[in-house]
Amino acid sequence: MEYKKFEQHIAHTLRSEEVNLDIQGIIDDIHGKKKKRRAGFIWLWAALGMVLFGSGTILVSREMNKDIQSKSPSAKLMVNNTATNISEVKQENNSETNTLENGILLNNNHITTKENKKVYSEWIVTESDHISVDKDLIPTSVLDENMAVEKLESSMNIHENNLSEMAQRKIILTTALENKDILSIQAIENKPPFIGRDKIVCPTFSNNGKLYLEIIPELGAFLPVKKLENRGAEINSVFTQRNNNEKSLEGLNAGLYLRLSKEKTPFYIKAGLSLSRLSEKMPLTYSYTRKDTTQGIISVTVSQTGDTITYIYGDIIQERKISGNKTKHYSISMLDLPVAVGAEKRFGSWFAGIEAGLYLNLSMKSKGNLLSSDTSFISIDTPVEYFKRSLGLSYFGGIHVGKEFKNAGRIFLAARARFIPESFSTDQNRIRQTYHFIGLNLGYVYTF
Amino acid sequence: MNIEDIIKGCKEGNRKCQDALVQKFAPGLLALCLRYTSDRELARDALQECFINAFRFIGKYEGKGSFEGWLKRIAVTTSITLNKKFNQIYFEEVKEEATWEHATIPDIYGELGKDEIMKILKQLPDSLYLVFNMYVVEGYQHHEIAEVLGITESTSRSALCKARNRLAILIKKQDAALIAQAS
Repeated sequence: MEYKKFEQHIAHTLRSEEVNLDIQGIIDDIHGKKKKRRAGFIWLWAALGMVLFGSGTILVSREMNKDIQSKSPSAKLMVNNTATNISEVKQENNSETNTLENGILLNNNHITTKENKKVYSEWIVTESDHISVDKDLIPTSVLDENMAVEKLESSMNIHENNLSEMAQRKIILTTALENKDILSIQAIENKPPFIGRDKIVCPTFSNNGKLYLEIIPELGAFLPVKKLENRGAEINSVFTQRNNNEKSLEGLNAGLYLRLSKEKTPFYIKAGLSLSRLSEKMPLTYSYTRKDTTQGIISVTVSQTGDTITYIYGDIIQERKISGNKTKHYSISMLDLPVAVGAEKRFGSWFAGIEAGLYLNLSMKSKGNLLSSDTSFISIDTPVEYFKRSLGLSYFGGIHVGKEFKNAGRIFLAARARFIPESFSTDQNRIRQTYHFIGLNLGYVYTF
Repeated sequence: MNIEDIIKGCKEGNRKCQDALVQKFAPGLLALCLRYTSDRELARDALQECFINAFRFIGKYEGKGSFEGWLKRIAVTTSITLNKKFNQIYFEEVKEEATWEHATIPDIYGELGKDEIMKILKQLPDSLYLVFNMYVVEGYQHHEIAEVLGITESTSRSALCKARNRLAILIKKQDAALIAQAS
């Protein structure tokens, strides 16, 4: 067989496939009667259904075997062993119909169903039986019951073989109907393909622009670029010391964001909470002279004989030179509310994007020791506030690249720069202290 | 009630006609949705979305082409969209088209049932399965596949060739048991 014909067979088989379902449930869902299906109940119903279905099919199978053996031991039934669709047989006009075999109802003149659609029968094949039905051999018009029995018996084959794989397999018995106007199986088979190259245009609907919510945890490090400015006219030594020797250490940042993306558009907005912490290190080399003055005898007059005549008292000054090294740290923690807009483009499983936004500082806390004189530090935990408690607005922009992992979300690496116009130090402080941050963040995107 | 009446009623928002439409097409469309989603629950959700969208946009159906075909297009798009939320499918972008050598396969494969066919097709990687299904079963053109899946036409063509080649290889590997079973 040519491969092309095999493809045609695939298309034909799959196009005409139907699956049983709870249509009323679907209708209810569509019209919004059921807002939410409960998975627990679905499983319960599925389990119950399976139990009922299993017991029913076993009973039917037993009955069928009995009937076949008692009525027509030599009857042959050919059933298409690959079909799996199952449907209920619904017959009307019970007075005119006769039960011939399990699930097969024949009318004296023709087979009709309640909905004039299809006649299906659901059979179970036992381990030792392989039953197949050739639908061409099933009579569609029968004169009387005896004829029906004879025709059916003569057209049925029962093959017993050792196909153990076929055990418990559900089999469909299909019969075509006389009424050609209805959607019979033959009608389906003879129908041209439903969709081919006939220029059917699918409408664009809301799913195309569906909004997706994503959660993004991030961790990163940044380099604080500090700027100190002396507020007063005269240069003070503390400013000089700090400007020359105070060193910014790497800052740490953690954030949790919610991102709203629209399908088929590259743009997104995101907002969340960001916690940043930066540290400063101040090494201090100090050297000074300490003078101690005490009262004491500064001169004694002695006679020629060696006797002491006078004592002169005065100030005795002692000078001590003190020098040493000290290193102290202080840290500033910030809690921010970042809001950003961005755009992202995909390149297969890779993606890259840009974003920009602003941070609204919710709180700022500082602790540690800050240089207060040429030789000493002061704890900034004291009531005197050296740093502000809130920074207001700051701005940021960045780029990111990432990779998407199948069924495991996306990870990305982002490079960001944050510009903070506000001074970290209070207005009373003689030194204005500002920062810009340049950092790298590693994040994970989980799509709901 | 014939299909023209049902469509007319649906355009007018008639609830009975909408229900009749669901009853008529739901079993076939569910089978379609199942082919494009990872599980039955998702397929059912896709089916529900499909009908909601169909009722919403039925006014745009002008009677050109088969109505069932129109519905199936909506079902395919909805299923793929929904499935993408849970299962990302990756396509290898190609610059050149792959070649496809026509093969001859045993006649017995012309009698395979739905289950056996699906068993073979499901052995294809997701991306190849998707393109093969859309092109061969649903009759999409490559530019339509490209549009729906967000890939290039050449990627779609390449995926189809790969799917066909792999299918031919898979068929060769099928054991005698399957052939016997199918016969």
